[in-house]
Amino acid sequence: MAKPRVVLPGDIVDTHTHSGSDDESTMDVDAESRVLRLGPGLAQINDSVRATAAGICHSKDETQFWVTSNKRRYVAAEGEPVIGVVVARHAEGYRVDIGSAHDALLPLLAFEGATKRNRPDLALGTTVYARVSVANSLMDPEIECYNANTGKAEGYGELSEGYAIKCSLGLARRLFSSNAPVLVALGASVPMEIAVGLNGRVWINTETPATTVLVANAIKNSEFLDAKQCRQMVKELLEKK
Amino acid sequence: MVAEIGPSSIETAFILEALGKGVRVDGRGIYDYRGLRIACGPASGMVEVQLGQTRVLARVACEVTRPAAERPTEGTVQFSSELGTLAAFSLDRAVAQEVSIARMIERVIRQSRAVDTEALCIVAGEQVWALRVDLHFIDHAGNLVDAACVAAVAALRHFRRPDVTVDGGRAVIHDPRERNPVPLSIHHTPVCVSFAFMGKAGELVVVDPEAREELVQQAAFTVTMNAHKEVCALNKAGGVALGPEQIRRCTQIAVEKAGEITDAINAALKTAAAEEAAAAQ
Amino acid sequence: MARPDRRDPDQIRALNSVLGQLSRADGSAQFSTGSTSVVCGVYGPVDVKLFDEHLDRAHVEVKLRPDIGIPGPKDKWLESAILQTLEGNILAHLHPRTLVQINVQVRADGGSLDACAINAAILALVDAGVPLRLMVAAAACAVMPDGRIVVDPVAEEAEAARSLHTFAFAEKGLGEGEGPVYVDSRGVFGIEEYDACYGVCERAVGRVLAFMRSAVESKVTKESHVAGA
Repeated sequence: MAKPRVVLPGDIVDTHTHSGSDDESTMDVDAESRVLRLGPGLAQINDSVRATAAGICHSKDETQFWVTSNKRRYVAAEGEPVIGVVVARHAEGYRVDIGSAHDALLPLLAFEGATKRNRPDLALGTTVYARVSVANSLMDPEIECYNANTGKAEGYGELSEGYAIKCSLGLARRLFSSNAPVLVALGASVPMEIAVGLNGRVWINTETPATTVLVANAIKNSEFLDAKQCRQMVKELLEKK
Repeated sequence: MVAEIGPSSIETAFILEALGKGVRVDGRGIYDYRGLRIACGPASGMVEVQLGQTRVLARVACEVTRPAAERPTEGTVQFSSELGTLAAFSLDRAVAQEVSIARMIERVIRQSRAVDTEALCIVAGEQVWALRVDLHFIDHAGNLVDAACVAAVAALRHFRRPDVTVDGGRAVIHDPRERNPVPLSIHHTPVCVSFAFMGKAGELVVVDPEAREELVQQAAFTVTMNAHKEVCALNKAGGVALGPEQIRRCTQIAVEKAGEITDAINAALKTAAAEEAAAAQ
Repeated sequence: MARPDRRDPDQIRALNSVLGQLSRADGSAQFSTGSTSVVCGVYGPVDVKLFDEHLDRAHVEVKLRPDIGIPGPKDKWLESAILQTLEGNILAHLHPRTLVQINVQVRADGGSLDACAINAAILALVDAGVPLRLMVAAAACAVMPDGRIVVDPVAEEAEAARSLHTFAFAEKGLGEGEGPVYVDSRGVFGIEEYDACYGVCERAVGRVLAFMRSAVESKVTKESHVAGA
């Protein structure tokens, strides 16, 4: 596996892991006609694979390549959990602001146990935790508050109390990966509930507002800190309390 | 959608619940002012103020014009501010807010006679200096008024206009390279201290509100004071009614905050002057 | 004859940049060359007004505010110069029916403002993660009355100059066309002078690009160091 490296827009990403095949330049690189899968931040421009965003280029199995970059504007991607706010109600569903260019559609039936007779009733301004079910550049995104396969809520749905903050998409992704240092450090001494939306929103609920604010500040502070610094920062915040 | 749609229900509820227990969403105390950073220069009359994440840039410029007929011996000071899309993308209330900020700063500085407009006269009835203060909002994280006011007064004090000599009724304006430009005559330094009132009856109050607090506020109140502890202006445009006791309390807090802000302005100007002197050598 | 700030003719002023400092913008950059300084905030891809909506690509707009006074024809002109330089470089087809808005605020104009504004805008786009084809940067030079060519002129030099030239180039060695992506030449000059200015600006752009690369790399490294830890 190639060592991750920093790329800038226009940088050519070498997808030729076997040397000496420079003449081949289409998506199928090798004699075995490997199919390359290009993730976010990469595009085929003319004959080469180039970065389109600044970030770290990763590869897996010599066939998958992607660039992780830290953005703030969400672009919906299928399957990702998001936190949104209901901004409008239509006959067939709600429009939910999830921070992307277009509001997401949340169908009335996309809830656990919802039927034509038994619909959820969400007021404008309600915060929901949902999963992106449809996302492509040509359509408005769609989200759902249940797992369509099992029909169960599985944690999705209205977030009726607590507090939601915004953060960078990169931080949200780190928080989502279960062992984020800041959450580990906080979890050791503060009982709390947390929901992470990959659209850069984090919902927090604790026993008291003061603790919620502490958790919110700790999460925001952790943007540029490594694991050790995170533990130290959380310790200092808890001592100040 | 990007248009600001106001806070969500849980956000509003949380901000109010927390405030009821004396906790602010950014962890500050009720009467804590955010960190204030003032950077003067490099150009004359250029000051950038950072209040927490809020950032305002002030630029002062001048030109020679004919005075108004009814005030032949007075120069003019004009303020302009525009809350463009840089600081806040399509805020619906932006237009009303930006007009009110420019008007408020103008009232605060001009009508409290902070700038000696008679000293801006070159030849009575013929030539006066017209000052222009441009306020640029670079980042909007709440309380633009206080930041803009600091930027404006600091920029006016940092500004140097070309020197002028009048010879037999004819004014000679000296090139800054030939003769050192001169500072404006400033009587005093008014600064704004803003409060946000929240809750149904405005019973919850904070100083220096941040953007999320401004979104749920029921009334905004700004006290303008100078270093002599004189009230220069009070501003409360609509919102819930406030009792005299609340106004008095705010004014008392404003005295303390205004003192700290004025000290910060003086310190920044002093640093800038020292740097300029060092660079000139 | 010495330059007002005692620089060598081919020496650019000190560069400085701050990335991602604005709290609301999706990406931002403050870029300064000497006393000339511009701050730029990018929003995008965001919702677009129906009037500007394109079904196959993002709409790109540039809004520029001068440091002093209200925007005039000169500012409108610079706005369109930035748009033309960068529009073709943005992979707008990846985000149809959206808007990419580039807000440029001049902080101080000490000469060579056009180049500084273009450089701030490209850095802000990179910071916002708006998909781009290539890195692009700009540089300016002036031909003085005595025929000397000075790079990155200060306001005083620009005023006295016989002709002024601003060029933007994409990063070299990436197999794309090597010509400039933006040229603005004004004043009286001959073809030899133009060629010489081309070369001077091309070399200066190389230095600006190297600076930008290290600025972006250090931000990315700072963020990823965290992720790896």
